Amino acid sequence: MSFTDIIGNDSAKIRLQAALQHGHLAHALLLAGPEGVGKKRVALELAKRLNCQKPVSAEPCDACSSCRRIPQNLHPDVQVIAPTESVYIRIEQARYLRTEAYFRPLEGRRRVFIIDEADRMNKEAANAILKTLEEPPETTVIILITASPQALLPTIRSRCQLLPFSPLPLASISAWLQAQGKYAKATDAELTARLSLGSIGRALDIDLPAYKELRNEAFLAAENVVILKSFVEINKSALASGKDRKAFEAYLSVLLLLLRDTLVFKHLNTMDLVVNCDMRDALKRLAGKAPFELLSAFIDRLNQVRSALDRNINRQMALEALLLDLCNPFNLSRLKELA
Amino acid sequence: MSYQVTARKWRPQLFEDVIGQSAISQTLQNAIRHQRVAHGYLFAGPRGVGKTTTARIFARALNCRQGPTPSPCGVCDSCNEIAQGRSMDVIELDAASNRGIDDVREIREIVRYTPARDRYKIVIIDEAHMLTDPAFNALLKTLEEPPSYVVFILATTESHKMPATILSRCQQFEFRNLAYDLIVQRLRFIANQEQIEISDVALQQIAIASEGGMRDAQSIFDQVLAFSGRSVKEEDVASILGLVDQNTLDQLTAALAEKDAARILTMINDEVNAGRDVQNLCRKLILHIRHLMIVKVAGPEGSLLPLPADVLPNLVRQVELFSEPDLLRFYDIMAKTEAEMKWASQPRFHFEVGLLKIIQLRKLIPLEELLTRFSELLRQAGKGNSGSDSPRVNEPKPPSGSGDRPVAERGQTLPSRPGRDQATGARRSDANPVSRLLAAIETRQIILHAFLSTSSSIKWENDAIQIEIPHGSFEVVARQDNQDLIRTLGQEISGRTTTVTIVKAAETNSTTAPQLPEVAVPAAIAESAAGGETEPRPLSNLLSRAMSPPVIEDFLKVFSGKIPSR
Repeated sequence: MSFTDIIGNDSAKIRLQAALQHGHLAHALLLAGPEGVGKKRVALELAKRLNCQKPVSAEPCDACSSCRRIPQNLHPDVQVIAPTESVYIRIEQARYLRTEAYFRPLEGRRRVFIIDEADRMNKEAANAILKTLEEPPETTVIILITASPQALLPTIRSRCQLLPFSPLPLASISAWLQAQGKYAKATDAELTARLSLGSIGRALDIDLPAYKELRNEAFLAAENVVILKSFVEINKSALASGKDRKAFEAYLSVLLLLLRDTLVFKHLNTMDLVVNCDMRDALKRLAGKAPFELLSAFIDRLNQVRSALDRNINRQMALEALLLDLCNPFNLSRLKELA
Repeated sequence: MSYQVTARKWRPQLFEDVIGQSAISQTLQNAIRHQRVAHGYLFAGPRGVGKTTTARIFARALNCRQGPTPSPCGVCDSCNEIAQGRSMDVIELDAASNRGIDDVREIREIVRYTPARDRYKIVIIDEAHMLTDPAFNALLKTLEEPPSYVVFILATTESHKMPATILSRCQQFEFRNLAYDLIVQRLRFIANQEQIEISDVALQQIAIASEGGMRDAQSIFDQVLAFSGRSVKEEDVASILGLVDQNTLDQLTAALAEKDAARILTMINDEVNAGRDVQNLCRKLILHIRHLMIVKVAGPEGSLLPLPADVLPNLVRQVELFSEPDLLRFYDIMAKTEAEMKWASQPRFHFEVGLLKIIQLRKLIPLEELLTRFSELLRQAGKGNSGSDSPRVNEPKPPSGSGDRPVAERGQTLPSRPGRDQATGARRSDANPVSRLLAAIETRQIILHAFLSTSSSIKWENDAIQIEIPHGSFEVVARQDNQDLIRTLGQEISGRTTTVTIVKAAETNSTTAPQLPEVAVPAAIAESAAGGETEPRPLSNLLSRAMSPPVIEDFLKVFSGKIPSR
């Protein structure tokens, strides 16, 4: 394992290596980019390179005891701080970082602290690392990893050097998936790649048959609203609300994605930017029948229901009300007038 | 190992080096000069504008061997120790990690002892907003009346979180965001000192991205250097920062104006693949819309736009594509979208849908402009028909650049509803007596006028008015009261005694073009009139009143419309 073994994000890797070679590595780095594109791997490679006993230019040797222990979290100078079971990174962890950061390296050259999911630091923890983050001892490097840099305190962001990561190219993901032998059919690999939105981590998590099943269900609901408009059928769709909260949320996001795809297809008439790339005919049918106002209202209402989930609404009633409301012809004409 | 980031390496060591906060520096220096140093200070302001730096410089100024002096020497033991953060008498405290009441009790303990070597014992409490409430309260007494040798300096980014009791015990200094040319100047100075080649444009880009924080600017500067080494190219800066450059925003705006969905979606796709943050893009777009609104309302001059001069012509050009209400609606939609994006698992899709919504909006035209256009149409239509001259037509077109509001100031710009006298007056200049007669009838008896509009011919020769009218309308028009009305009005117009004859037109004569375009009469009116009642029933009365303003008739003429029968 070395920098070159990590797929994509060449610019980030090049910048890190350039900084290593110029001796310009900042003491606080913020690796920001979507989930599952290799941020943590890059951070670990960096930690390996900084403490490697026989580094090869900008790469770690990957053979010395440092290099072997760091990924296993066994190196005393490299520590990963991540959210505890309580979902947050708490002030105790931040205080621990503060004390530890001021020690000299025990056996390596640099003490490296990797704060994974840094946006999970609660307010107290985030404030507590500010001083350390700004002026750590010169042997300490702090690496923050986050998928949503905007959720960090501006005072944290301003103290770090940002290293942006981008989603991986879809082609390389689908090629990688096929090379791994995960999918027999090329279309399945392609669909998974698109669903992953450029994240290998997410691509690996996707359970394609389950997704397709959920998608069929969601598509039926969309079609009922747009085409059939039979209250009985629609009420059947609302049965989806019988799922538990997590599954229901998944259902809503699949439905949202379908509607977004329909909208995109309606405007572009090609499948290029559509995520559900294997549904051309179905989407075409839906796009042909659904006026823009309906799709837009549908999406808005779904978003409302989704955000209302946090307030423990009655899921079945919310979904029923939403679907029936959208089928109400009076409502539709009003929507058109307003648009 | 000796590498230090720019923000640390170039942390100012003298009041003179702190940029953009000259008022504060001067106040503090004067306090030292005039021996009016207070015992409690609060430095508040956004991140990276010099709060901690000023606190440290102030500490050195107070404790310098040569001092207390407005310009610390920087070479004596005290100055050095403070710079390295190991002075016995300057205690810098991180309130964010030591936020409890016990930590404050410790402070109270510390300040009880006189300084070890220097003049003052200085306690810098950084991130002071993170102290807990009990901790704040425990500090109150000490902060109000500390020993004579103690100076407290509290620094915080969120002064609104500080209790009022703390605020009232401190001298407050509000640090401001830095103007971006100051940031450029400082970066230029650092670049020169470090012998780095970088263009002014690149520095400006960095300054804009920093949003007014010096440390942000320096972090970005480092980031660029880490990539480019000693000579920095402009395009590097944009690509490295993942900056949403002005060009992207311009193109996005153009695509919105052209309603080019394909281009918008492709652009978003490209931005995402290039690793840009969609939420950031959305925020930048909102800011851009805000800039456009300002240009629209206040013009491109003035200090409301924190933008380099070369962006302005672009803005001015784009503003022409939208009306003010358009921009307001864009802003609304995007602001909502942005709020949704915060919680969404896939913010990108929300952004796309938001933009598609904007595309789907019809363009709003400011009411003034609509009215002007309408009266223009009216005038054109009026030329062929009556030649009457509406006074509104000459009204100057409202300037489209500024202040056009769709609804406000309605009273001024909407044509005042013409009263009857006015209407007859306007038509009095009409050459054709028949149209004058019809106009007069219209203002007096709109129903009659409507029936007359079905007539196949109206002749007025030698004081005799002859009206030929189809069977359906004959009964009404021929009624005595209506005949009387026509006669009276005819006499008024010509000034002579006039006779009126109503003739039934032949049934086959239906192809004869009516003098006025056909106006369908609501059934209710026709019924009530045909029923021979002398007074119209209340409903028809209302309807007739609703239809009485000439504007309505003009509308029907211009747009060849009909009032549908019920």
